[in-house]
Amino acid sequence: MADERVVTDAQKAEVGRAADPGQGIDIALVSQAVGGELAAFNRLVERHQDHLFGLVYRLVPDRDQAADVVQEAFLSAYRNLGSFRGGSVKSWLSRIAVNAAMDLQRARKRRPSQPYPEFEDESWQPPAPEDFEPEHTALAGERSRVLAAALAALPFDQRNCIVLFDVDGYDYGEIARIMGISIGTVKSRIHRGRLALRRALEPVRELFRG
Amino acid sequence: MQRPAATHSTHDELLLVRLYGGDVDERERSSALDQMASCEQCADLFADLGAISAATAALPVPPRPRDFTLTEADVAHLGRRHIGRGIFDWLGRTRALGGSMVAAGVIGVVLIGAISAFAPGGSGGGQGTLAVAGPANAAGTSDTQYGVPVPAADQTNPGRKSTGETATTLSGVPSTVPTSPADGTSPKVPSSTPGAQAIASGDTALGPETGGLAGAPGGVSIAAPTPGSGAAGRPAPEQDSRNVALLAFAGLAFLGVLLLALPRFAARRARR
Repeated sequence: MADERVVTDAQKAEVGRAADPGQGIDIALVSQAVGGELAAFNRLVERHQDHLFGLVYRLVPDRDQAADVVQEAFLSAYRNLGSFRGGSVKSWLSRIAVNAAMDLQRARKRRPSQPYPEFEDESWQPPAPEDFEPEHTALAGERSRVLAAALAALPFDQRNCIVLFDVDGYDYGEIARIMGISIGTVKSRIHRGRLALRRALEPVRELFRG
Repeated sequence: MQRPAATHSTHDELLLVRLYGGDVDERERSSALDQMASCEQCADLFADLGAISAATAALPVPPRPRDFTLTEADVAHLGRRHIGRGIFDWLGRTRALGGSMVAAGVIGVVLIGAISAFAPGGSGGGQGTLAVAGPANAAGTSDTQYGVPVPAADQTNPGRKSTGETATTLSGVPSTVPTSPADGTSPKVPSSTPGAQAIASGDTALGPETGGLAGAPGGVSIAAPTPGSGAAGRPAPEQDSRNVALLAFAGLAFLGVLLLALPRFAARRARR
């Protein structure tokens, strides 16, 4: 209890120091949630659920499983609110979500018979833009499909690092903290992953030009 | 002025990837730039890295299928699940222990089985084995010893006649009565052999647990134990200890199987 009190005070102090106003709001919400306010935690969920779902969907490219992972991540975050030690709430939630996704990936590795069903399902496509051009849309769809398949074929350690770097814009140090590995390992995974991705996509490289 | 493509195979592609990731020092940077300037394929590779990276960032994400806010019921369930998961997580870590226990149990059972099969008199389940607790008789007419099979012919013991008692064995089951000394006193009968005790004391009221006949006249006692009961069916002490060890090893293996099964159960619970 005393520990939680200390965390709360530290977090409150950090609210004032936070340069990013969004970050300040996050920390204030965490403080209230630590005090037992479920509504405050739910506001935190509303602020980050889209980002976390987008992140996890790229790691676990199955919509239902990604949703389960995100739900599990928020439950885990609520359970471990007391372990938040300041810093970026977004990074903290991302770390929890990435760990939950990695748990699923490890379980999938043990049971490789379960494929990612949505790789075979091309029914979902992003909504057409205002300047809808069928050829352009078809090309973009094909590019997304082959890229998603190539990403999924990467070892999940490499895939996670690339997604965090390219999609979420985390730097090497943040990825190292999120994944609990050294910066050198992060760099190595990203570089090797990029090279593997390029080799896999070499036959269809025209899709990515122009 | 570009080099032929055949030389590209000798170029360090990883250096170009590191250049793209900003993970090179000044010397490596100039080396990579030289490599790109002199090799079209290296330049293509660098351009492809940029295109793939941009496409990765632009990968579409389907709309969020549901709202992830927590309800009071979720929180209440979370508390219960936390306790349950803690227990099952601990049990999950016992998987290695479970495997070891199964292996040890199976090896133990096999070893005990092998010992029972090859040890003298070990596999007979007590049949044909004398389980005599007392000392050999003074007359020295019997060679009854622990674990020594005795032929049926040896079961008629002359020493027994001097007591005026008749010991009859049925179904070839050997008598377990130690022969009496020549002075006609009753032999010292171990209390663990009730049928034999009854014979030695001339008791005619043999209960069903002795396998004898109650009310046999003339002081004639009939020790007729049924298989698996009574004095003659009782296994030798070492057989007893083997059975106990066998049960212990089987129990160990069973516990091991339980420990192996629990993590699966826990995982199924966690998925729910």
